[in-house]
Amino acid sequence: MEKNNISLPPVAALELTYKCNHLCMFCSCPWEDDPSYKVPELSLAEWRLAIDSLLVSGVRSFTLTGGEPLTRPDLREIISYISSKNAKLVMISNGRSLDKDFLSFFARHNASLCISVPGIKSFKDHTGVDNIEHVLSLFEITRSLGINTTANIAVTKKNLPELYENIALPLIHGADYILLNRFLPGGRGLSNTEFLLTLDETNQMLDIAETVLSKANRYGHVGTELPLCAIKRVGEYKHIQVSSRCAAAKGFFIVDPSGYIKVCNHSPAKICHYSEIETLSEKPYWNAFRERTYIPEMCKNCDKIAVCDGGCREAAHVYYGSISDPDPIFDVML
Amino acid sequence: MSSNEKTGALGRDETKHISCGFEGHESDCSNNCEKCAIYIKTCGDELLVEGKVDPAIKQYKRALFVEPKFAEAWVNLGNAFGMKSEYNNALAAFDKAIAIDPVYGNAMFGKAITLRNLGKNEAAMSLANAILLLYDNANVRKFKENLMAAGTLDSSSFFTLDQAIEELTGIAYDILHKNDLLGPGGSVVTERAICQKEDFAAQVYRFCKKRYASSGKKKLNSESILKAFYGSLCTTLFYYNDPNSITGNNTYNYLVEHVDIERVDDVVEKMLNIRGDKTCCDNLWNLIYGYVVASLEIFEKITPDSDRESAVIDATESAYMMGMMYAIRWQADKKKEGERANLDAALEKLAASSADYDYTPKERSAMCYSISLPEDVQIMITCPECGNRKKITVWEGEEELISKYKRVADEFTKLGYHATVACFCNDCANRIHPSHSSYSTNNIVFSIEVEPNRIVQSFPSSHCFRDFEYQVALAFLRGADTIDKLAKVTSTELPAETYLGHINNVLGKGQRFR
Repeated sequence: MEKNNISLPPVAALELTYKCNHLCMFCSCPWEDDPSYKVPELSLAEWRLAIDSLLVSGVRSFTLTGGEPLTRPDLREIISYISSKNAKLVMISNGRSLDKDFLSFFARHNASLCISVPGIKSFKDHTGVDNIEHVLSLFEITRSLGINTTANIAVTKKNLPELYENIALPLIHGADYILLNRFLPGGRGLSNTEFLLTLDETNQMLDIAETVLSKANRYGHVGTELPLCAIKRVGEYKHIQVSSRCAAAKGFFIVDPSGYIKVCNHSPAKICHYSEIETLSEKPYWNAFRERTYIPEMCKNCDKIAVCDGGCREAAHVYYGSISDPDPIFDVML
Repeated sequence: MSSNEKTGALGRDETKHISCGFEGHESDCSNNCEKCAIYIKTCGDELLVEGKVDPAIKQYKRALFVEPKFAEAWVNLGNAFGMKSEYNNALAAFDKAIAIDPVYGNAMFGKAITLRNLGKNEAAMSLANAILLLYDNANVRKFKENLMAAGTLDSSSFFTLDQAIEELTGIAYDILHKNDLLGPGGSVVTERAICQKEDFAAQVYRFCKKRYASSGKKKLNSESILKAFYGSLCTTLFYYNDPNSITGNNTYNYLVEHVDIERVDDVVEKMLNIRGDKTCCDNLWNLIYGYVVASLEIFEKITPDSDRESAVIDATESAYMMGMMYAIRWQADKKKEGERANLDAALEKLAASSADYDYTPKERSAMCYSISLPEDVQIMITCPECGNRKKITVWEGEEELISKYKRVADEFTKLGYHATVACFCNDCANRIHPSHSSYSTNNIVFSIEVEPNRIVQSFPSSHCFRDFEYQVALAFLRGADTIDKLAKVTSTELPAETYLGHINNVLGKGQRFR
C-alpha cells in the first residue's frame, strides 16, 4: 500500500465548524473578518476520511475547536471516531452548551477539555454573553468527573486588571491548568486593536500569572510565543511557562471547517485541502514555517535567533501584511 | 532662546534628543543600518517625501522600536498620520514627542495643528500661545491669526465665564483620567446618597471667604478648592465608615461638626492610613494642587472681573467631585484587597490540599493548544519474514490495532481470498516498503492471496486503525464495481482514481471498473 510522503506535526487542531454562539471581541478566526473565507463545511463522513488521512501522516493527537465545536450536531460521533483510533483528544469550548450529560459522555473517552474564560466581571464585555457563573460551575463538574481541564484565558487590556481573579477563580473551582493567550489581532479582533496589550502590560500578565499559580501550586503556559527581548524577567518564571519558539507547522497545524490545512489558528492562509496533503511539502508558505525562514529583518542579527522566532509570525502577517514583519507587541502606537 | 529668536525656528532641549554616536569619527560605524534608528527614520523621511505614507509610517515605527526616545521620529510619525487624516494617532505621536522633550517646538506645533484638525480650536489656540511664549515663530503666529480669523478667541488674553468653566472642567477631567479615578467608560461617578455638590461647595467658599478674604484672592480661591477636595474626601470616608450616621444630613454641617476644617487634610491622611508616608501624602496633595495652580491662572484671565467668583465656585464644585471620586476609588481598591485576601486563602487551601502535586511542564514551543500525545511502547516480536526476535516501537494500543486488522482480513477470507496480518521487524518492513515518514515505520503487513500463489502485500497504518482502503476493496469484490456503487456503499464522493488507487493497493495492480 502507498504510504503518505508527508510528515505532519503530531497535533492537528480540527476547526469543526464556522458557527459559534459567542461574539468574542478578541476572536482571531479569519472568517470573522472575511466572510468570503467560508466555503461549505466538511460532512461527518469527510471528517472521518480527513482524520484517517492525518493519522497515516503522523498525527497522534487531535484538538477539536471551531467556531464552537458544540454547535455541530454530530460532535459526539466525531469524538467517538477519534477515540476509536487510539488518538489523544482535546476539545476547546466556550462552555455555553456544555452540561453534565455531555461531560459524562466526554469523560468516557478519556479526553481533555479547554474552557474559555476571558474575564470574570468583564466576561460579558468580551463574549457578548452573561455566562460566567455557568462556566465556573463547569470546572466543578469536570473535576468530579475526572476530566483534565484547562482554563483558557485570552488576555486583553480590558481584563488585565482582573487577571488575578481570572486565573484564581477557575483554579479554585477545579481547573487543573491555565493557558494564557495574549490578545492578538486577527478576525473580529482586528476591529478591537485598542485592547491589545503593550509590552509593559504583557509583562504584567506574566507576573500576575506567576504570582497566582505559585500561590495555588498549579502551572500554566502562555499560548503564543513572545519575543525574548520583550520578556523582562526571562528565566524567572517557575509556574507559568513562556516560550519564544513558534510551534505552527512544527508541533501542530490546523484543518479548517472546510478541510483546508493552515499553519495555525491565527492564519488566514489556506495552504491546501486535506485530500491533497501529499503536496504540502511543496508549499512555500508551509515550508517557511517548517524551516523558520520567516524571521523578521530586525531580528536577523540577534544572538538569540536560535531560540526565538521574534514573536507570533501569523499575528505579524495579519497586522502588518507579512510573516516576516515585527510582532504587533512592538507597535509603538499601542 | 537667542538662536531661536534670530532664526525664528521652533527649538528644543538638545540634551533630550538622539544623536549619532559616530559623528566626527564616521569610519568607526559598523554600518549595521538595520539596527540604526537614525538610518531607519531617514528611510521613512525619504518615503514620506515620495508620498509613500504607509511605508513611511512602517519605517518610523521600526525606528521607534529600535529607539523609543527618538522624538524626531515621533514627530515625523505624527506628521505622516496627519497626512492620512488619522488625527487621533497623530495626536498620540506628538504627545509622545512632547513627553520626551516638553519644549520641543515642532512637536508642540504639530500637536496644535492636529488639535485644530480635530476641531479643538480653543485647545489649539492655547497651545499656540504656549509655543509663542517659548519661540517667536512666524508660522505659529500665522497659525494663531488663522484661528482667530476662524472665530477662535485668543486664550492668552482672556476667558469668558463659559470658556473658563469649560477649561476648568477639562483640566479636572484630565486629572481624574490621569489618576485612574474615572468610572467605567470614563464616566464621572458619585455616592448618590451623600452627593451635595453645589451646597457643599457654596458653604466651603463662604467659610473660606470669612477666613481668608483678608489674605488676598489667591489664598481665598486656592483654599476654597483645597478644602472642598479634602472635605468631600473626608465626608465620603465617613460615609463608608458609617453610612447611617451621615445619610440624609447636610454633609458640610456633618463634616464641620466632626472635624476641624482647617486640619481636614490631616484627618484625611489618617483615615486613608497614609499619615507618615510622605510619598503617598505628596501624591494626594499634588493631585489637587495641580488643579489649584491651573485654576488660579484661568481665574486671572476671566473677563469681566465680576464673573470670577462664579468660576471659583465652579472650580470648588469640581474639587468636591474629585475628592469624592478619590474616596470612591480608594474604597473600591480596599474592597478588592478584601476579596483578594479571600481568594488568596482559597488558593493557599488549594495548594495545601495538593502539596504532593508534582507537575513539571515540558519544555516546548508555544502553541495555543494543550498537547496530549500517546506514549510510545516497545514490544518484542518474532518477525515472520526473517525469523528473528526483534524489539519494535509502536504506539500504545497497537496490539489491539492488529486484532482489528485481523478482523478485516477475516472478511476477505470469507469471500474466498485468504488474508493474514503479521507484524514485521523494522528492517524487513523498511526493505519491503521503505517508510517516508519520520515518525515511525509501518510494521503491520496485510497479505491477501488474490489468486493461487499470487500474494499481494500492503501496509496499513500502524499509527491507527484505518481500514477505508480495505472497505473499498471489499465492496469492489462484493460487486460494487462502478464509481456510483462505491460512492453509495462507502458514503463518500471521491474521484475515480482515488477509489481505483485503494483497490489496486490492496488487491494488486490491474483492477478495472466495469
